[in-house]
Formats: sequence, structure tokens, C-alpha cells
Amino acid sequence: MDQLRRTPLYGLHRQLGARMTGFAGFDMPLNYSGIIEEHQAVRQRAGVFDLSHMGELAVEGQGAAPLLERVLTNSAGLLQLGQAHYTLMLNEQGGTIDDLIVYRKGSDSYLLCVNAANTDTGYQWLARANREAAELRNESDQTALVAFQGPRAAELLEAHSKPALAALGRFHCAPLVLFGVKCFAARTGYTGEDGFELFLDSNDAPKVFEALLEVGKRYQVLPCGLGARDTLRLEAGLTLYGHELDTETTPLEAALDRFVVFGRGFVGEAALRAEREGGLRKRLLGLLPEDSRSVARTGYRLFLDGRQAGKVTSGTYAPTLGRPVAMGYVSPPFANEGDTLEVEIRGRRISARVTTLPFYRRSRP
Amino acid sequence: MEVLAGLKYSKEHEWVALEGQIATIGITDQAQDRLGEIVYVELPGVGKKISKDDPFGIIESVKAASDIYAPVSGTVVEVNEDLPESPQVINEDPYGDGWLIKVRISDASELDDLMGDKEYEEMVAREQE
Repeated sequence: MDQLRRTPLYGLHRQLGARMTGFAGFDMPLNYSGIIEEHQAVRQRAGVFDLSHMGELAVEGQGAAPLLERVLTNSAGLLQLGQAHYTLMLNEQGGTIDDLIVYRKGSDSYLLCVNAANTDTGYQWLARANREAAELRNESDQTALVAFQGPRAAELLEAHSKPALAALGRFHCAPLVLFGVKCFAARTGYTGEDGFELFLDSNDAPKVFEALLEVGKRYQVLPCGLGARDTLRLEAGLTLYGHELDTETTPLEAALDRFVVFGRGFVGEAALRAEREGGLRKRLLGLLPEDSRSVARTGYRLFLDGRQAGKVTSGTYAPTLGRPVAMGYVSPPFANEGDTLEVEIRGRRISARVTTLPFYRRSRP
Repeated sequence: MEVLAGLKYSKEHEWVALEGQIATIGITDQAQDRLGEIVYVELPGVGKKISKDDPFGIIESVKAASDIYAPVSGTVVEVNEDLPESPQVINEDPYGDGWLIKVRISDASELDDLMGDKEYEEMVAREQE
């Protein structure tokens, strides 16, 4: 097996007593105190995550916007300066190469935050498609990413950033100085809570991570690992590449229609149009297993009226709901909200109610 | 990590406490720590026969579902009734209130295949290398 890579925060994770796990080629914290405790910290107060494994691609110059318009499903041309959005990169068949967030940093400057496992693939895909001659740089190695997520996040950072982080709207981003460190901050996240993602120079990451824990002491803010990241995103109904998304899956099947802007001729658009007219081959559903004694996990089979209808793509015990939840794909004819499917858990078929996503939605002030 | 003297241990990280012909079975501190927060437990009913080295139940943590293997063979005479309601007791007190089942053993010589506390500690240390 290849040696796992380490983020600039690896030493700190060990010091904090993290249980480590291999993820996308990186040695990452799975949990510190415990997945449920960390999960609750983010739902009720705030949590700090190391996401430095994720990839950062810079796309700049006059060709940047036209290139992104052509290779991504959401219209990068619609982004105002200092705005960000979720988008997908597709192949010609409409299959998903990656899902990502695009941040517009300058008039001709974009930052793409991509999945760790797809960083190289995404970069190469952009490079090959780049007939607009945009400047492309893979900045992943020198960039650290720290997320500070939870209802108390904005309040806790109020006195520590210039200009004020709290002034950033949801899905807005700006360069600023936080704890005396220059960073590029965005009000984005993957937890279903308010919060920030902070792009930093690798060397500055430990200082910022420690400072976040320090200011967070007032509210028992916790360092959080990939375990809580997964339970949080699942409750929030957010897709995870490699589970709900892959090159065999289109954004329409994944119920991500709102991130697809048709009529621009982007790569994969023709395939999506054909699928929209001909009908989806599969569809993502939320599932609530009714026997709340066992968890439907990735790969478990789904049945409708006795025939196999699909598979679970993600499943966990949802700490906020206190019950198991799952997401999975089914083939047509599609079940609707309130219908009952069966999920096979260790040879036993258990009823699961179809529900709309997300499972959890935060209450907004 | 806590390992208690006087108990027998299996390679699969279960412990056994024998009193007469009745063996109380649970998972070790090391096992509960590895699994993480336990959310569900599936155990056999009273009267069910279990066979050494075969799975007799399932423990689900947030992370994963794991089989529990029988360290000895026998017939289940008692099941920890508190676990369905509060499975986290296994995390909090794996050698005490977090016990799983009691069985009437069918072959006392099977105990000889299990490890003592020192031997188990050494195995855990080797696994962590």
C-alpha cells in the first residue's frame, strides 16, 4: 500500500489524541472525543475540521470564465465577485467526474475546491479542455483548508477577523486577516450548519486551528473528524463523491437539478437533455428504516414489491435524529415520498419509508 | 486501555468470566474503543445455542456493524436486557454493566484456548505496532 500523505495539521491531530484513518490517500482524523459528541458540538455550538486533503485548483485569466462556463453544470458566469456556488464537472455522457465549489476571488480569478480523490483527475480534465487558454494551477500542496462550523461560529470569530467574517453572506467569500493570518474565507460548509471554510497557507494552518479551539473554549467547541463530517452531511442530505456520485451517475439522478443551468452547451449537457426527455435511469431517495435497531449501510440492497430496486449509497445512525437514516438509488418505476421499500440488512428485509431530503434542516434565526 | 485480571480473552476481543458452568461474555475495553460509540446491539434469545468462533450477535457503532464471535460454546441462559435501551453502557463499562450474555458452557476444555490477561495485553500491543 502507498504511504498515506499527511496534512500540515497531522502533528496537532496526534497531539489532540485523534484516531486516524486513511481517506483518499491521506492520514486523516476519524474522531477525537467521539463521533456523536463532535456531531452534537457542530449542531449546537461549533466544531473545527481539518479539510486540507481537499484539492484547490486556481483558474485565472481572460479564459477562466469561458472555460468554467463550458466544463461545469452551474453557470460560473453568473457569479459576482466574492460569490461562490456548488457545481459539477461532467463527462460527455453526463456522468459526474467531480462535484465542487467554485469561488470567484477576482474579476478573472476563480478557486475550485475539489474532492481529494479527484484533484488530479479534475486538473487534467480542465487542462485537456482548456482551449480558452486559462491559467491553471494545482495549489493543493501549499494550501490548507480548515472549516469552522456551527451556530456559534460567526459570533466566536467576530472580534478576530478584519474585515468582519460575520459580514459575509451565505456562499460569499473574501480575503481577510484572521488571528493575524492572511486567509481566503468563505461562508460555505458541508454540515448543514452556518459556518466558514478558511483557505490558508499550509504553514499557517496549525496556528489558526489552535486559535479556533482556543476562542471556542467558551462554548466547548471541539475538533471534529471525518466521522462527524459524514454523519453531519448525511443528515443534511448532502451527496458524497464515491457514494452518491460517480462517473455512472448524473446530477439529475442525484436530484441536483438546481445546480444545472441548461442552454449553455456545457460538457455533458446533451446527455442530460436526452436523459430528461427519455426519463431517469435511477433516482436518489432518502430512506428511514422503520426497524430502528440496525443501520442500512453502503451497498445494502433495496427491494420494492419483492424485486430488487437498487442499493443504499450511504447510511448511518443519525445522532440529531436519534435513528438510522440512509440514501440510495432506485430504478423506475420510482417510489414516492411516503412509499415503503425494503432494505436487506444481513439477510433480513426491513421496511424503509421513502422521504424527501434533507433529513435535518437547521432552524434559521 | 483496561484489561482485567481473572478473565479469559479471545482473539476477537471478547472476554469470558466463568462461574461454575455459567460463562458471562462481553467485549473488551480495547474492542469498545475501536468500535466507537455503540448505537445498537443484536443478541440471541435465551435458549439459543452458540458455537465457539461463530458469530452470535452484532454490534453497530456509528461507524460500522461488527460481528461478535462466541469465545465458547453453550446455551444462552440470560441476556443483558438493558442494552437495547442503553447500548452506550458497553462503551462506558465493558467489563461490568456492559456484559452481553450468559451461557451454560458445553465444553469446559474450550476455555483452555483462550488467553489470560497478560497474554491478551501482549496481543493487543502487537496489533498496535
